[in-house]
Amino acid sequence: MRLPAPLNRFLEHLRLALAGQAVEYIEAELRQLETVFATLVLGSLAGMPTPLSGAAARLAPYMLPEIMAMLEEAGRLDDLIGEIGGLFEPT
Amino acid sequence: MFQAGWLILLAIALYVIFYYTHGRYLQYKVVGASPRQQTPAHRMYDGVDYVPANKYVLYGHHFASIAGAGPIVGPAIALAWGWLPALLWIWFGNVFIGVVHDYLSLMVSVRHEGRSIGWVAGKYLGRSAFYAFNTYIWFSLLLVIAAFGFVISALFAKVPGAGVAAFLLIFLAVPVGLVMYRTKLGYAAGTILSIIFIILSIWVGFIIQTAGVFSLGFYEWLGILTVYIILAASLPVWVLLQPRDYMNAFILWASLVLGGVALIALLATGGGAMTFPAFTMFSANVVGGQPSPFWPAVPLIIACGALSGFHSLVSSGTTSKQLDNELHGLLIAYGGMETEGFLATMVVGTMAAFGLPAFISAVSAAVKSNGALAKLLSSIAASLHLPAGAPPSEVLKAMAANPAVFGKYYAILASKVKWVVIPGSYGYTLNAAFGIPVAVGTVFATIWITAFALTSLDTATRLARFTWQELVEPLRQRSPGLYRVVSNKWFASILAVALGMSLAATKQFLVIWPAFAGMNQLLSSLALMTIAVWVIRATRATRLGKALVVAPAVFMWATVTLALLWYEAAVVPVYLAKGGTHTVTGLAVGGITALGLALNLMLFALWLREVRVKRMVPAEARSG
Amino acid sequence: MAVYVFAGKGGVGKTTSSAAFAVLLAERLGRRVLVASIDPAHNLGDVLGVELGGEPRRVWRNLYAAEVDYEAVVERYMSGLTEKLSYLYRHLKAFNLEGTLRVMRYAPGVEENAVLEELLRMLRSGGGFDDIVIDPPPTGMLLRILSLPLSALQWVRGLMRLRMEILKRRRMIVNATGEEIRVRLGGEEYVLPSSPGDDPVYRELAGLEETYREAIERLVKGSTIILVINPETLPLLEAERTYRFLKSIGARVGGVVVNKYREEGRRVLEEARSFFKEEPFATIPLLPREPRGIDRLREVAARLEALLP
Repeated sequence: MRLPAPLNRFLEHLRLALAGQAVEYIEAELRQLETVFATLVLGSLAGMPTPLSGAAARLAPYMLPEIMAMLEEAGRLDDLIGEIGGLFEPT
Repeated sequence: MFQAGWLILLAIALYVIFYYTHGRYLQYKVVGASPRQQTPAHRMYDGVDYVPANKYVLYGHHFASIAGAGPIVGPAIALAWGWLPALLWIWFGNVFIGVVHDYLSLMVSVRHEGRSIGWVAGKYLGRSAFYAFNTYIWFSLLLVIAAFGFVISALFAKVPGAGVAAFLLIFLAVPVGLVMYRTKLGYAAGTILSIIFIILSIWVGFIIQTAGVFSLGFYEWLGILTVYIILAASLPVWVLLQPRDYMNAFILWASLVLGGVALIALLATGGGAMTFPAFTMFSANVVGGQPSPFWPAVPLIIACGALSGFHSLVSSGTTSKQLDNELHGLLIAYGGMETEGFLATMVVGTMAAFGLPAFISAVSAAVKSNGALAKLLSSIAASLHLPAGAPPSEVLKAMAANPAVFGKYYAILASKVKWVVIPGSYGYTLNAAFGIPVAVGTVFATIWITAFALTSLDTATRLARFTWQELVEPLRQRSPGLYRVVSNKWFASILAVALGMSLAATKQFLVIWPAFAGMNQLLSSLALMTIAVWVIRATRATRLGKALVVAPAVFMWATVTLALLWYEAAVVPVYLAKGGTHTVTGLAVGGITALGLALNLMLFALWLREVRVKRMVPAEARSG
Repeated sequence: MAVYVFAGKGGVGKTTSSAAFAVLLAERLGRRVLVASIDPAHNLGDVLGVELGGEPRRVWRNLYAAEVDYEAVVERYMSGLTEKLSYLYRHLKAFNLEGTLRVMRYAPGVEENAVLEELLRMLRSGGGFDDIVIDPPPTGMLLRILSLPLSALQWVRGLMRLRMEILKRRRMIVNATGEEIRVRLGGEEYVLPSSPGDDPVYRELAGLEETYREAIERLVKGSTIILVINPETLPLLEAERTYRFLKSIGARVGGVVVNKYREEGRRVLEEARSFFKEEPFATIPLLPREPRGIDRLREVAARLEALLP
């Protein structure tokens, strides 16, 4: 059955909206976890003591997404209220 | 008599007209928005945080984020001045101030790589503005907890069926989350389950409500809430907060559409006539039950719906990172704020048209067991020259017909019946339009209001934890031992919850709500000042365009400053003089608002200095 | 298969002792023995009087010997890492800058990991030997290598738990939205893995965990460590510290050799004997010249009989 185009578009938007609404907080939490992970692993490369730069070097090649999340997060460290406040809006 | 349905149609017309005139003007002549200008979502695309979203999807999401219980409760209280002044403030506050605030917060952030308005305030007004921003937020959060803690406990005490239903919904959110996140069934199954569970909860609530087999008092509910909020705010987000947030979106849209359609449908049958007075008096008894001048006191009552400072956080913190095209900003932020204004309009409409039967049933049900209410009712009867033993329905009908008496007693009486008249009037509206049993509609509306308020308690506690951390940061160097104690996560949670809930326990809602609204307005005032500096400094706005931004900023600053000064001078002393818990309440809200005021004066001085500085147009504006 | 590791400071006679002990095992017990040096300053070949390389070479009856090229081991380990890293930073080649990654060679912990993995490789393959006698790097390095797996194992397990939390959140998003999570980095689109099996980071972590677990099993707990000292007060004190440390990480100490014993050292020898009274004890007198060749080693070996299992 073919639906008329506007209805199709509406349903697609609804799908996107529902899918987005369903994971907003989880996505934010995931990004935080990835940042923590990258900081722990690459701490030695970033000047924090960790016992194992050898192990860090083994993991690093696969951690591009986490490293990017960490760097981006670091760039926003002076604006955390925007991060957190936008997410946990209470009124 | 005037039918509430017309208000809905008028509001739609007004919002559409302003969208295409005022909104478009802001878009092109102030911001200079252009589809060719890359947004942060593209420039910094990462697929996760910065992702261009479809504009309708983002509009829905933005609206779901900004809307809460605020635009329902505030307008309902403001009816004390009459529905017309309340509505005028909602409409004109919304289209002249609120949308400017929300839309420009978004666009400022878009032009600052998705940074928050707090950060931009720090950039344009200095570091102290940034601290002021955090301080406003923290105190607002305390008062959010206090105000919503009161509203929820009060409504549950009156509509115990809804209390059961709301907690049932909380427990059912967990399986929704499990199905949605831990199985491959995903959001589709989550949606179906959500809708089934919402209907199931309403049905259970209705059964319990009508059977009258269960009830708890205000303080018992407050105790339950205190435990709930500390636990809820310490859970991982996916367990409860995320699925609840998802379910709330359905409740929000359902309530908005049902209420709006009901009032419009009633136009055909001649129903929905507004029995409450259009205008009562300039100084109705509202704030703290004291005579309150409509201006400047109105923003202490109607915040969300006309103007809310927290929106700037959503606009500039989340939405700005997902904006696909600068031209979409208008629909999303301007349109989103208008939709909230529409929600507030609907509340005013249902209250003005169906508040009377809601009052009659609420007062009749409670008057026998509530001595204070009976006493209040007989003094209302006396001022209406009715005999002391007159039945509540007669007294209330006469009161609705007498603007002066209505203005004097509305807010106080509504507080005595714990504002159950808000969901009650919604129940009567659905009953009149669709024949749905009043109890079903009332339970639904109570769930709607409290679902948002409950999520607010959760998010406010989480946000308070974080803001507190920022506030105590200066202690880290000066007093490391103390810092370790106060920066503890549980300390921060329990502090905010304990302070907020103790305020709620005083039941002095008419003084707590204005303090919350006032702090919220201070936050928005700071955002407006920041926006104004940006418009003057960094855009090529026309003179009219600048005026459209600077005038609301100045007007809002002056209004909220005067309102809080009046609040300190006229309301707080009354509470201080009453003794006992009243004095403590007075000290608390007086102290918080005084701090807010002091910061506000300081910020204005900073702001004046910044707007006076003549500078070249910055590079940023030239490249745009 | 038994593994013996001769621990001691540089110059105390580790190589001589381990070579002599290997001869002893081969001769007295008739075992097929490999003696392998993994010390950056090799002299096992000199002691045995033959040219040695990385592959085991038969030097006498059923005695085999090898000198693992320390630099080459570290180099090989590094090139594995830099190969992966240089894929990540492949654009550096355009600048001829890929050499900059070599600085990692000097990152703390890299050498230890490299040697640890080489030792494990050796023990794992076994090569059909009944016994392996290892002449390791000097004490400081050896202790770092031995303690590495213990702390590292806890750390890796912690990271694995955190990684599972991340994968769990990703799985939730995939489940809820019905779509994989795509991110774009540097113009390329990546699909974020959401299950442990697909996640290379988790796989690497699991590999590391296995390595460290095995290292504890085979090397730290599974080998017999023999302390080599000279009869002087300060080295003795240090040996005592080493001994306590080895006990604390659960290593098995199988004996003490006092090398280059002279009459003047009697008092220290007595102290050592009383401190290590629970361990087999052997003494090798100071020889007029370094023992070279199998025959000389057999003489020395006779002094080590106390250490035989």
